Amino acid sequence: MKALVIEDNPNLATSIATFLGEAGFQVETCGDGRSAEHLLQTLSFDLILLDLGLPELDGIHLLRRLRSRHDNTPVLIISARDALDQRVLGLEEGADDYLAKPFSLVEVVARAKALVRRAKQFGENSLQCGDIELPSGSPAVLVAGQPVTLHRREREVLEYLLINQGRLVSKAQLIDRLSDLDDVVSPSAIETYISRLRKKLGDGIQLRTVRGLGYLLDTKSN
Amino acid sequence: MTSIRSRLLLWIGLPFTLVGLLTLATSYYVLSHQITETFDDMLLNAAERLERRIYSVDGELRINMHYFSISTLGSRGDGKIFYRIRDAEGNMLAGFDGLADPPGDLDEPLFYDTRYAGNTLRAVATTFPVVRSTRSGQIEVIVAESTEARQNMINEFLLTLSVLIAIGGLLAVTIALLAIHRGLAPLRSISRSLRRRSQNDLEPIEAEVPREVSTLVASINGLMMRMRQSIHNTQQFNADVSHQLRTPISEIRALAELTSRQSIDPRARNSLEEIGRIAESAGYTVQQLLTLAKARHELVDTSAMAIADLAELSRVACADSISRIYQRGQELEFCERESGCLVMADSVMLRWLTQNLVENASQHAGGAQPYRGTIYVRVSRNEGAVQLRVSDDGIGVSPEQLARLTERFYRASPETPGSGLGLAIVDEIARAHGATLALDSPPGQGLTVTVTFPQPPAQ
Repeated sequence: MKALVIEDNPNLATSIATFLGEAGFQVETCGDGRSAEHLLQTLSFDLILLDLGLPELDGIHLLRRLRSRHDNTPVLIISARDALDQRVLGLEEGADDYLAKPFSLVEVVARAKALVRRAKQFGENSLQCGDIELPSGSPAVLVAGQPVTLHRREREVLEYLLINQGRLVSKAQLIDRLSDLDDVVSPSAIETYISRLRKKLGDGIQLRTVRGLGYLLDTKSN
Repeated sequence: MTSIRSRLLLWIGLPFTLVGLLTLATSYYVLSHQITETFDDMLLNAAERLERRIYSVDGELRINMHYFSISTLGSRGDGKIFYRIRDAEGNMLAGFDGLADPPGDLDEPLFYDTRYAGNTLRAVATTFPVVRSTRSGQIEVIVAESTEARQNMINEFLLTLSVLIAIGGLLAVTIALLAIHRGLAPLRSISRSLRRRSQNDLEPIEAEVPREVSTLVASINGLMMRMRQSIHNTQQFNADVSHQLRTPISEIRALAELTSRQSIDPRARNSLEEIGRIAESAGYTVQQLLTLAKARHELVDTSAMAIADLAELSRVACADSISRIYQRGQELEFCERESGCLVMADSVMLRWLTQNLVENASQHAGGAQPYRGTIYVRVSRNEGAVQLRVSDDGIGVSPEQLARLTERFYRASPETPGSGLGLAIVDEIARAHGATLALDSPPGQGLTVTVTFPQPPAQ
């Protein structure tokens, strides 16, 4: 997986690059907007980490140009600007996620992986979380290496949770994902799938119910 | 300071009263002069008619009073008439001897005021020659009438005039009040539109105003513009500070994290992890300080306000905090009691508010110990007012602490990490939304923070 870190601060660029490198990314770094633009036009990446405050060409402009070229490479924004307002700005311009400075490098790596995972959700890779591995195309899920058979609906729920692991998934989102025009899934059906998943996967899964909000697949196995 | 209304009333009313009094005084003077003259003429006329009643018997002058009655203007009604007629030698011919002598020579008719038998009288004294058969000579006639009739007439006139002036005055005051009311209408409409504004609205006043008020409005608008400029500068300064502080703090944190991973010395790793934690907390404090500055209720830009679903905003805020909550071994329960809890809000700020409340409960509910319970977030509607309630099952706070919780940098448990700004931020944001903040901590039942929002304006 190739990642481009566009960050003008050398200390931050090096630290992020090192952590991403350890997590299995091939990392290029770039300190200003113009050369980043050049790199993006000549090479292709699986992930872009973009600082908003860049010399030469502002991060938002760079992002806008990228999206106007119909380049859908996932973009994780890192910025020292005011968190919430700029978050809205970046996300509206087509960024996929946002991290405000100061951030933890572990968090950067987790978000980076999640973005790549989401971008490739129908790809060839398998989805993983703790002891659980869901190979694409296979009807079974591997729990600590042991195959466990899942119903089609249960598999879809698990897949969606795995794609969004570490994030809150609301019941409405699951219903949306599972329903089609002919077959509308009810909230109680979702509860049934979730409880069956818990039974089948046992301790291998940290699936929490957040009352009133939805479900959270915890990435940290306690 | 006296109101414009009373000033105008004073400046219209006072001259009008003076003019009225002056009119009355002048009328009194002119009228009494006129009436005196007219009455005096009649009196003289009566005196002259007396002459014709004089005849002589055996050389003596007599007066035939039989068919004669003295009729003057003043003798009508209650008026009294007195007369005295003497010949040239001073012998009484008829009348009241007690009437006083005229105060001067009688070359021509003399009018004077006198008193007789307890009456105030106006008298005329005159002489004329009398020629009756053999006798001829001068006789002196005094006719006096009581002054009540004159006085009554003057009084009646003055009374009528006073009533007319009073009616005129009342009319004038009414018209003046009406005129003042109409004249001050532009001022009232400006103050009404200013009052209707939310306290943070610094848009210029756009209303059409009369020339006299336009400079005032221009000054107000100028002031508002300067305030907006100063707020803009403050916010720009905040953004600059934010950038200047956050980048070095990120560097410290990233480098500490990186070096800690690369280091094999466990003591060095401990120190580096501690440096990372300090940098994290410094970063958090910077963020909170900036949030507080931005949330200062007088600096809030109302253009960001829109009708929003409080439950939806709170849900997003909770979703943002949820992984931290679970990492700390806590649970979160969200409850939307009624659907469609609408508020007039800056959605970004309201998310901060909810996040700060949840974060506050998460960090401080356990006191010195880490909290291991549930944080409850509830959105409900109570008689039109929308409420957000965040509570916990923690150790709660004492009543003395409760009163100080929204103070900046006040921390009920200094040993736990935190900036001491969370509830101060909540307080500022609540005030910017016209919402009220209530903190409640019954013994043994944790802390409950309730934010009550006003009803949004109907659309």
